Amino acid sequence: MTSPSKYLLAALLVCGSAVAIAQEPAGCPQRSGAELVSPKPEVENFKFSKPDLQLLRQVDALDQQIADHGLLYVDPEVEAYIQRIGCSVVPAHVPEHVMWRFRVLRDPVPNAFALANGSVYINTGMLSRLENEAQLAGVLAHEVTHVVNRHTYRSFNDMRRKYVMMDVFEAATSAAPLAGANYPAMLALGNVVPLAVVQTTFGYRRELEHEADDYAVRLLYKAGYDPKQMAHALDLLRHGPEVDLSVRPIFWADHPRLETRVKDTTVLADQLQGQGDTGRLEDAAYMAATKNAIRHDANLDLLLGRPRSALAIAKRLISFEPRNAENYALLGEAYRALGGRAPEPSPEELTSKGKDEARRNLQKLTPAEYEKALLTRPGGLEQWHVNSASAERAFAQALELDSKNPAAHRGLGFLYQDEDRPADAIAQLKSYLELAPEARDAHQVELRIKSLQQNAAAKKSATEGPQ
Amino acid sequence: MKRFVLFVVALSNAVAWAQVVHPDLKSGKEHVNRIVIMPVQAEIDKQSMKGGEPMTEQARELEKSLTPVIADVLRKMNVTVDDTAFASAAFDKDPDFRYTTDDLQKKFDAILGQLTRKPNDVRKGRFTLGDSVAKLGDLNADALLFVRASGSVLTGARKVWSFPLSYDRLRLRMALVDARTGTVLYFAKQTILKNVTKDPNNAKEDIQALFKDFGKANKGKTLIKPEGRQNVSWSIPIRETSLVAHVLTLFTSVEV
Repeated sequence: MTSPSKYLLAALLVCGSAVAIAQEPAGCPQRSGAELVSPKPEVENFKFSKPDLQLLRQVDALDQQIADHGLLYVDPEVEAYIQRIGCSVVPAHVPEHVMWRFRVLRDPVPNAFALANGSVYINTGMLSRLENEAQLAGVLAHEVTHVVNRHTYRSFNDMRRKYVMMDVFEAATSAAPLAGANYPAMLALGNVVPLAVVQTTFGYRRELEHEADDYAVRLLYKAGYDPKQMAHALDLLRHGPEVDLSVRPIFWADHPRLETRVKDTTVLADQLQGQGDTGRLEDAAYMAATKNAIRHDANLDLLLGRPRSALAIAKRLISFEPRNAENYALLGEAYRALGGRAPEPSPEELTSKGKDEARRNLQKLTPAEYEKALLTRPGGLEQWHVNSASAERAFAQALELDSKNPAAHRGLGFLYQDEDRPADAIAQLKSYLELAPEARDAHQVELRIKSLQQNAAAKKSATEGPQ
Repeated sequence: MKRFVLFVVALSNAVAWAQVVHPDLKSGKEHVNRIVIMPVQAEIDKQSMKGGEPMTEQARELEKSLTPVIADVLRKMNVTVDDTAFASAAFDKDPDFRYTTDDLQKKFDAILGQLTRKPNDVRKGRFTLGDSVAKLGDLNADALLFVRASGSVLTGARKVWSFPLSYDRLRLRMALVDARTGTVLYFAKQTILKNVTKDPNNAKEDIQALFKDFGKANKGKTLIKPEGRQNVSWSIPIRETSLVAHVLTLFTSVEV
């Protein structure tokens, strides 16, 4: 009986696709006028029960925990922008126990989520996937709907009711054999029925997701954005630069399939929008406001072994700002991190067999071992040479735009170290330290220089042999 | 049958403890004088008859209160411990510091699965976070201590319902990581059958036991006499002693 709860628990606090924290509460300015979309009657009559208030306290604590763990992306410009767009899609009437706070979470997974207290989190991974302000507004409107329509409380209460049912059923099936019932049949029932009950819980949550999508499209339309961008935003989640190794669970899917959501939101947008009627997109404004968060996200991708995503982001940033040296330094880092991978997944990687192998390796190997294993695959080493050459070109381009770009010097230093060119590596790393003596990784770079010098000295004495 | 399977699964989890020392630490090639405790990360849930509920408030409290308990245990092993580096104003005000800390926590989580499944591979020097740990070089640590705690607190009704698996539990996993190279020097894990959310000092003896092998390996600097495992791991009051408790006690007295 404990296993279903384990899965349910994870889904409990968070409504929407994912999670996050905060600095100080901003709230939204009071808005007057008609509601963008009227809430359902059962939502308007919602009354807080004791468990609901307990849940609210836990949710407030989660906000704090996210902040404590340093998971928030802190950039006043980006934060103000997200807050502004978020506030543009909230209702004029603030629901009880809700304070609207829109925050960015340092997480490369394309996701967003809302807490019942009005905290809406959007991952840097989602910001880097979206293309324009209308899509951002759509995602935030979806999350706002979860809060306004009290989805967290509704699914929480639904789960509690069903859990009691499962307990009762389990007791009955455990006791039935004592009364002469067929034991294997009772055992099977005792196992299957709780799963079925849990499935209905997720079915309920899927309904709530549909509801949130529906409201989001309407909110976009009312706010003057192109309502079709909700469907486009969902569609962007279907395909990413990385090989999708996720396995869709049979029982635990609490979100409808993306294909269905894309189709449904498109139909609704078409119904709302007249022919030739186009809403706002604001793609340039979006990129200008979020570029730093997007660049930050690429670094998280690099940290967590997602170099193809980092590469795609670097290319996108370059097309937006072709004269920015930082973007080329990022491109160089992405190529360097590709290691034995091709920039695009090969057809073999996309087969079921290829995906199974990757899953197995990722489970068995540490990230460092996985990278090494990629080099030993057929063509891995050749690909590494190609990527290294591309990385060197990108770093050189960054230095051409700005000869004092520290990141490019550091990247070249690390690249030359990988290529066993200690003298070149030391020179580049020293340049980095001269340009950025206060950098947080200065100590790491100093240690690398020391290690390179020691290795070079040891190599030299080994080559010269005993005198 | 189903209950039996659950029993075995829970039992195997409960006794899943290990303490593994890197050979460099054991041989004396590495010596740890100064440890910085990274922010503890805890997850607690309440298991009631109406399912599981997160206890985020209690988890936050535990994160804060567990750190000084661990620090106290380590100090008694003649190690200098900094347990305030991440509670400082600098940490709050410097986003770079926070990002770096979070990045290292993420890197640790990326190897934690393998570390938990194959702890003995610490002896092969298999696990490392890489030299990016040196980004916290300004903390002047020899080693960084990563701590993960996850547990469940059962309500009274759930305890009756779940008999014989009716114990609150807290799973602790701790790793000491070389602050220059990122190599995992020591890893320990244990499940404590207690509710420590009210008073983390309840776990003090268990934490002492978790560092027993570290104390021995770290050049015999241990001041406290390592206590017997049977005295520290399972604080089940006599009146609640059950078959499970007896079995668990048996397991805990066996050295791996």
